[in-house]
Formats: sequence, C-alpha cells, structure tokens
Amino acid sequence: MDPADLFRRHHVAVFRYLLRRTGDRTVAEELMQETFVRVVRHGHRYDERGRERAWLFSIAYTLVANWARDRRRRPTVAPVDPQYPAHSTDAAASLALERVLAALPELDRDVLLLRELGGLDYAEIAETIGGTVAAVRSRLHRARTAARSLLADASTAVAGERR
Amino acid sequence: MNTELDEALSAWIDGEVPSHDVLLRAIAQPDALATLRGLLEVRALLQTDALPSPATVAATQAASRSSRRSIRRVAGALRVGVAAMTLLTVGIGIGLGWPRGRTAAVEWARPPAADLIAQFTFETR
Repeated sequence: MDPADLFRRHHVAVFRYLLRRTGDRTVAEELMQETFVRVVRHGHRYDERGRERAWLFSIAYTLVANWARDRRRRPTVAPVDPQYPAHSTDAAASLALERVLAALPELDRDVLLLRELGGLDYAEIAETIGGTVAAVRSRLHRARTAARSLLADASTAVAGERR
Repeated sequence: MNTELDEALSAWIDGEVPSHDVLLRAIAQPDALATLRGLLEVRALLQTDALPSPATVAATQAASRSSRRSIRRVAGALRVGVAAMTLLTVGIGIGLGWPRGRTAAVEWARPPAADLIAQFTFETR
C-alpha cells in the first residue's frame, strides 16, 4: 500500500464525499487531511490487498461520524463555496438537494454518498459501514427513492418561496 | 409501484446486476422508465465539481509523506532549535552590555579610594 498513490487516486473522491456529508468546505478539507495522515500512521496494519478504497473510506467515514457526533446536530449538506459550485447550475435544485440530504437518515445518506461520490461498489460500502451487500442494496434503493420523492417536494417548496 | 423492480433498477445503474435481468422485467412495467429517470436525476444532482484547495492538497501530501518517526525527528530538531535560540538570545544580551551596566552600577556604588579622600581636608570646628 503506497499512501502517495492512494492519495493521488482517491483524494478528490474522499473530499467530495466529506464535503457533501459535512456541508462545510473547511471541515471537509481538515477531515480529508486527517484521513490521509491516518493512512500513513496505520498503513502498516493494513495487509489486505485489493480493498484499499474501502479501508480508506472507512477511515473517512469514521472521522465524519465522530465529527457529526461532536456537533450534536444534524449537519447541513450543501456546496457552500460558490467558487466550487455543484455540477448542477440550478440554484433551486441545489437548495432542494440540501434539504433532501438533510432529511435522509444518516446511514442512508452515507450509503448514497459513498456510492455516488466515493464510487464504492456494494461490497466496499458494506465493508466501510459494517454491513452486508444485501443491506447496502436495500438501503441504497431506499435512499434514492426517498431522495426522489423529497426532491420533488423540495423543488415545489423552493419554487413556491421564489414566487 | 414494484419495489423489487425499483431495487433492481437502482442496483442496475450501479452495475451490480446484469442488464438482461432487469431490462426484461422493466419493459413489462409501465412505471419503470419514470423510476429510472428519477434515479438518474438524483445521481446527476449529487455530482459535484468541487476540489480541495491546492494548499490543502500540498499540506496533505506533505503530511502523508511524514511518518511518526519523522514527526518525532522534527520535534527533536525543534527542541534543539529553541535551545539554540535561547542561548543566542542570552549571548546577544551579554554582548549588548547587560553585565557592563551591572558592573558600572557596582563601580558607582563603590566608595572612593583612600588616597583620593586624603587629598581633601575637612576642618571641623
């Protein structure tokens, strides 16, 4: 396991996951840095080949879970820096997404973000959060369905506020 | 709503189930296309172009290169540096005359020499 190679290949995905998860760019950068420092410090303990990404994201996942617990409140989730906007240029959609993600159960949100932004497959997500592949599949479907439904509601609400 | 099919569609867009399994069932299900569209909309909305700042990337790379041993080495070097700076400060203080001032004060307080006193006679009545 080469930490420099791991950083080069995955730091953007880790950062984006942390950014969506925390909604705070500064926090996301700090947690990303801490994730890779831990990779270096504890790399000697890692000996399972081929599961580096799951191991890396499990560190990020634990750090962000600790951060969320410390905050003792539901974190907001949004692209907060206008210099780095979301892929979507629709501000209303971004606002809607913010609300949707905040409304999802924490573990469902994690599964969704690990899949969509981390790029992890189901087995890797299961390893990261500690569960089964079947549970991940089910949770992911639930998260997407809820997001779809909430998104429709939130878009309507945001459009109503604008009028 | 066909939950089983919806779940299969969700897994399909992740490449976790073979296409033929899902598509055959989806074709027979009128809502499948709308479901698929909704799933893909959620996916598109979640994507972001955000990147960590170059400063953070550089700092993280630097931190990643450091091992605990090197961190200890840096800490040791810092301690030596602080000790050297302290010595240097004391040296500069000495050079700037701290003891000289002290010596001058001592000389000022010292009584004049006896032969100097003898040159002056004081008459007493």
